[in-house]
Amino acid sequence: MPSRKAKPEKRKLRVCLYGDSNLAALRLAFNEGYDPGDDVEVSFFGAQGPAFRQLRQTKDGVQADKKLINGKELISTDGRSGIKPSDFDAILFIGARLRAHEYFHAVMPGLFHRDRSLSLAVREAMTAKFLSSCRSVRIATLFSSNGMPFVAFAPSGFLNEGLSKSHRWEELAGIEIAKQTDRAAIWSVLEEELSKRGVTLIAQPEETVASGCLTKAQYAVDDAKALGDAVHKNEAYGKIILDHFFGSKEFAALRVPVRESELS
Amino acid sequence: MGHPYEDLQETAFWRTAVAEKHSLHISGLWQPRFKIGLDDRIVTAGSCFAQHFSRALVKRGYSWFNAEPAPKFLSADDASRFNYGIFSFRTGNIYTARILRQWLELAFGARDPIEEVWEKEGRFYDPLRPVIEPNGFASADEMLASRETTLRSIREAVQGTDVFVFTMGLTESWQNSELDYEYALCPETVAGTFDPDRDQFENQSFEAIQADMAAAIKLLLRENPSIRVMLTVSPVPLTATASGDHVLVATSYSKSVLRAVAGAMRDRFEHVDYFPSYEIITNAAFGGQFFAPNKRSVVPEGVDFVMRNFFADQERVFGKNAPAKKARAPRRGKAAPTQDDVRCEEEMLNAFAQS
Repeated sequence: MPSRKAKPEKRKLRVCLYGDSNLAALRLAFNEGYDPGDDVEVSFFGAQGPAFRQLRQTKDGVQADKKLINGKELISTDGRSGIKPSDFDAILFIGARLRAHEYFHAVMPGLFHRDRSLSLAVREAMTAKFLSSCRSVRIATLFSSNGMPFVAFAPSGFLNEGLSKSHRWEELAGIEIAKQTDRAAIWSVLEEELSKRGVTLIAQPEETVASGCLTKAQYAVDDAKALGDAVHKNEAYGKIILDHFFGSKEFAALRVPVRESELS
Repeated sequence: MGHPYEDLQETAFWRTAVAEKHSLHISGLWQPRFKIGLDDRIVTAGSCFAQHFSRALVKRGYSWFNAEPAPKFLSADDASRFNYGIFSFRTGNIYTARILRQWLELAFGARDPIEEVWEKEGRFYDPLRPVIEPNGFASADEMLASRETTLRSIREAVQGTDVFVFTMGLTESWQNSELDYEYALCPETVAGTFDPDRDQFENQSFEAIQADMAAAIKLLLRENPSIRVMLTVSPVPLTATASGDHVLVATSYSKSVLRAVAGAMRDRFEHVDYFPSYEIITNAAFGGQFFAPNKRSVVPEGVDFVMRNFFADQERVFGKNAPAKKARAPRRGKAAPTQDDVRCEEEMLNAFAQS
């Protein structure tokens, strides 16, 4: 009796979600039932706040300091103390000290005030420095250059609406009039500069933006107002970022070979 | 009754003040007219020698006023490449009194805007500061907007400063005779096209420079009545002359005229002083020791000696400077907590505790 051809074992796409405290928004989305598909296996890796600095770049990946491993701050849902490009098919950096609002605040006034202008050449130099001075961008670049198929980066979202008093808002006069096209122009410079590094930008989705360069209050963590938290976002925001990541053409391209193998 | 020279101090006599002293011990060269305290905001502009002033002031803890600082995220190298932080505003070198006057008149609306743009290989250059961006601007409009940014910075600098230091550099200049303004550099040397009918060489006279300098000072005083102006003359010889004279002779003429104008301004305006950095570097008493082998560049030791004299004479006349009252920038060190650090621990714990 001819033996039935064994169906190849389905290999799931291994995805790492990497970040600082901004990672919480993604986790909250999963806690609320976010489902990227049964062909995906998700790991979280990161650390919050000051502990995030204890994730060190090595020559082929990221390794947590002993102090971080021994403490409670390391987030590693599958028990790893470090990650390498070969561990995953895709990685999404979220936040990870790449603060979009700082970059926007630096370049936006020049768009609206002729006497605060910055030349394109200056902005390009700023962009390169903004990215290269962020360790997580350097790590993302390393992962991409070492063969990880899809490396994406979602910078931390704009500050939360209604909590701007703690910031030097007077220096940013006028940016509330920024339109979608203004933001798109700035994002495109970042996108291009990141793509040179083999990294795909996940820009802050437009539906979450308010007042030119803020995040709508509905996407802030629940107790943001009471605690004056201008930074952290909720599960709804996390879901939108995940939708953009898993719905990207780059991620779709990863899914195709897996499905083909399922058919064979 | 004695004669007028009888009671003069030793600095009035060449033998005691110069001939009998080691050159590095010659002192008391400057009798400052006003005190410059550590809290006083100081603006620097002028020819390239003025750059040494800003660096020395910062090094000594003085409050150099940078009205057009490099934007955030620009590296130090790039900031320098794009001419941020060289002078108090991004004009580049201001070599002549007329160009200073021109910048001030543009900044304060005392003359019509200058709209000429130089184009070269698809890039656009500002005739008032053609080397401010290393590869020019992407468009004419970008160039004009950038100039407006600098004009705003000039307004802020003039209206917000206590002391305005201006180093006079050249008498030789190139004028656009059709649009009636002075170029920073001869057209076509960096960009633009030289037109012999339009572009006129002028080796400015004492009277012309005096008129421009006085107009500039009056404009400064109009915008900031308490401003104090300190003039210096660059000791750096001309790189080249278009006067027809030997460059050494042309240098002597230029510097002599500038020195004379500076003296005249000091005599005319009580808010104006002259600091003799020019004499310290160039006088025969110092034997040329502060020049590099090319006999033009000033060596760092020369700049140090000039600035030591500056600070020593201030202290001799007004006493030691009290520590600055203004809060100083914090030292670099352990990174301060950022917004992301605040409450982030709770965020993470909350999120991962629910799983």
